[in-house]
Amino acid sequence: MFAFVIHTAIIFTIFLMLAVGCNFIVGYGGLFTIGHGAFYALGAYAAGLLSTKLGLGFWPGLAAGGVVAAAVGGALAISLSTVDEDYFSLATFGFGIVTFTVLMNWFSVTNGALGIAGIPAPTLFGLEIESGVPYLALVVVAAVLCYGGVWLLIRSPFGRVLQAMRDEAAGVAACGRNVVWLKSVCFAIGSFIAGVAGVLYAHYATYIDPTSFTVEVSILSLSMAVVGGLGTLAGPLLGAVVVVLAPELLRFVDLPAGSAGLIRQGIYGGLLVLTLAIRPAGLLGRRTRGG
Amino acid sequence: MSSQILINGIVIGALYVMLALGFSMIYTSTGFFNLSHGAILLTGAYVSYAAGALWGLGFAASVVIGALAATAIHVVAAAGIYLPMRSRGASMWIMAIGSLGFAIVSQAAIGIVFGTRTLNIREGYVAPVLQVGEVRVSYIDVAIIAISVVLVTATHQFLQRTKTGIGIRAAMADRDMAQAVGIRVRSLELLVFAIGAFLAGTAGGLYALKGAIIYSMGGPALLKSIVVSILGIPFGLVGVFGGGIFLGVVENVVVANWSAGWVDGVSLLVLIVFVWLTAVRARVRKYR
Amino acid sequence: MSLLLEITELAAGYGGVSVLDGISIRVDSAETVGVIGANGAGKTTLLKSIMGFATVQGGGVAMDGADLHTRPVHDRARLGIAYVPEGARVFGELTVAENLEVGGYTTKSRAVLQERLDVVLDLFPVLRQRLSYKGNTLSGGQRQMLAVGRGLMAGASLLLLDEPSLGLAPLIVDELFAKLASIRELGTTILFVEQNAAKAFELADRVYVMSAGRIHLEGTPAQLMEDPSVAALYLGGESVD
Repeated sequence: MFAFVIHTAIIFTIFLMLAVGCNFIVGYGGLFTIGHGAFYALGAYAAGLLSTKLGLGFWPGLAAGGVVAAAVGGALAISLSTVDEDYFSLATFGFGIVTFTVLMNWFSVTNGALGIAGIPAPTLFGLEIESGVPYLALVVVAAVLCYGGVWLLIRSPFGRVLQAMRDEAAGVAACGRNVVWLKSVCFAIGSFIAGVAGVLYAHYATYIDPTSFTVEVSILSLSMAVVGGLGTLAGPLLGAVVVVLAPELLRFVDLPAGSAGLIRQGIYGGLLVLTLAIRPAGLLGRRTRGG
Repeated sequence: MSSQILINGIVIGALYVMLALGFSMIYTSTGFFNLSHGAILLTGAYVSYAAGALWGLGFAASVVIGALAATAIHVVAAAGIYLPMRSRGASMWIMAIGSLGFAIVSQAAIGIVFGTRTLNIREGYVAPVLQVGEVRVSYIDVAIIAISVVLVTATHQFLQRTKTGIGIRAAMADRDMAQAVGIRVRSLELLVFAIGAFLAGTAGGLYALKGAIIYSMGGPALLKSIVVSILGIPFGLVGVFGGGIFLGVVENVVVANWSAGWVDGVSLLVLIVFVWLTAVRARVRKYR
Repeated sequence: MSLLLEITELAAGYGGVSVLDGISIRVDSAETVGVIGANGAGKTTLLKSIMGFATVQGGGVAMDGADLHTRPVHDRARLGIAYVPEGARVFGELTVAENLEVGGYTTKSRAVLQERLDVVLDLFPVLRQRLSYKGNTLSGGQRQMLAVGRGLMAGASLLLLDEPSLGLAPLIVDELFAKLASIRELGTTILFVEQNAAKAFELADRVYVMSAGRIHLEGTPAQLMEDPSVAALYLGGESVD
């Protein structure tokens, strides 16, 4: 029971990081990505491959996973800079699915559906960070750093220009700012956080396969950000509680064994519909955009 | 490419065309990506299964009942959820996520009622096969192509020739101006939803008839709808038709030469390349 | 003359932003009324609030005695208001014939529609040659004529025109205003807003002068042309902008 609570807390915190990164890209940058899970996957696979094939340690892997995700994310945003908003979203969605397909089928590198096993637990000053409370501490510290980083960023001059661009891209461009660059840096930062979350997941699970990185992860990330309220600081936290934690709590309720998973799934969907139908701007959102 | 692969691709493509025509009509008239489009197909398939395998109705009646049930459910969702969301100022992607939530709910409901294992509507029944030279086509495949062509043509004629159809196209072109000439745009949007859901629901019933009913087939169906719509919308109905057949054939070539696992990736790659190459400024009405 | 449209103390804008600040206007049946004013005076917002596209914050609009406040846009069209927006906004993907048919969307009788179509095509012969062309292939002047024709197809009792001269060459403007004069002769009530004051004075029975969301003067063209401030602002050699 205690172990289960810790496990849930670790997964929750990792998903919270996805929500924070996604909210940064969508809520503050105005770039509606539906491919956030791809960068989570890139981080996890980078860490998994580097540690099992090259014997690289956790910390270099953490940096590498974040940087790989950020670099690919930045490049994707640049290459899509001329595309209409709707198509931008679609292309990110497509990117998520292509990434999944590659993980599944590029057998010689990713080991396909068999996945990568034996990813070692991280060490700190020579001591192993054990699964359980120590690992929870690690992910909480990482999540707090990411949350704090975003908090600082949105108050910085860069953050203010970013939000101005979200609201009026043409105006910001007319002020001589490079909008393409702004967008890609924003996308890269959000992807970096997703990549770090992926590394943390890989070293926690010690085994990764493509089924943990389906398009549903992208949609879950987005749902958390949207339900909480795009472009609000506390939004991702609240969104993660509603979308991830609430269905999880149903484990403590007696449900018919055969369809318990389906009922949880239905409730997740129902919460999503209900929240957005009642508050289209999310629980904390004060205003609606594009409407 | 053998002609057998080509014909298999065309049959699948004919289903994609029905899916994508509905999806793109809903997108161009209501301005949002209806991410429950795959769930419409799923509903059509399972209700057809219930009608055919459980209540013992004929194939044709089963497909029609499946399509009508799917239409009813999703028109209610549109009237009760999506359009009210828009009135409250939800942006197009927020509406899309709302529709995704509805898709998740309806998929879970289907799973609870029917279970999640693969079902077969025509247990023990083998459809007669038409043999032309080297190529074998089952009568069901022939029916799929015929029904697809008839429904798509009928939809096209409705949009082009009738007053209501012209009103729908006017609303697609300029929603506010259409209201200003007295069109009840909201009712027409619901009508478009009904047409789109009927097309997708029929595709679901036909898909069930063609092969097995797989619980997870809603997601891939949604993907095909999106890919074909994006390929097709800038070129109108002909584009949607051509896009559907093209995707069906490409997928069958991929399956024949490489492996089935690459199919979704390839179709999305087709989409990304298309978006990249053209940076489509689609001539669809931008969402306001 | 009977009162057709009555606007009383109208305050309106978009969302929380206020553009109109207590405007009162009346239009009688078979009258042609112009509203002139510089860019940003609120002329377009005035027509949009009549049609239901702006947020009304105070006051009211009544058509034939019926309060329009809670009515959706399509209902107002059905009450007999036809709207020709700024830049015409013809349905680009529809043919000219289809644009005209959509204009008469609320009319059921085929015979009545055919009658109106004949009137419109006699008025704008250029449209007759273009019936099967798409709206987005027309020139600016043709679009404006199609938009007016689309409005006439509704058989509306009140025609609202937003800046009909905008973006058109002087010769085309002359032609268009000649057409509008003939529409006036047909007995249609017209309320139009226009930046081109000279043209507005030619066409209108009565003119309101608007600036910064308020009505400043009202009178017949002859009265207003006497007014030194109008002459200096709107008819003088100096440009308004």
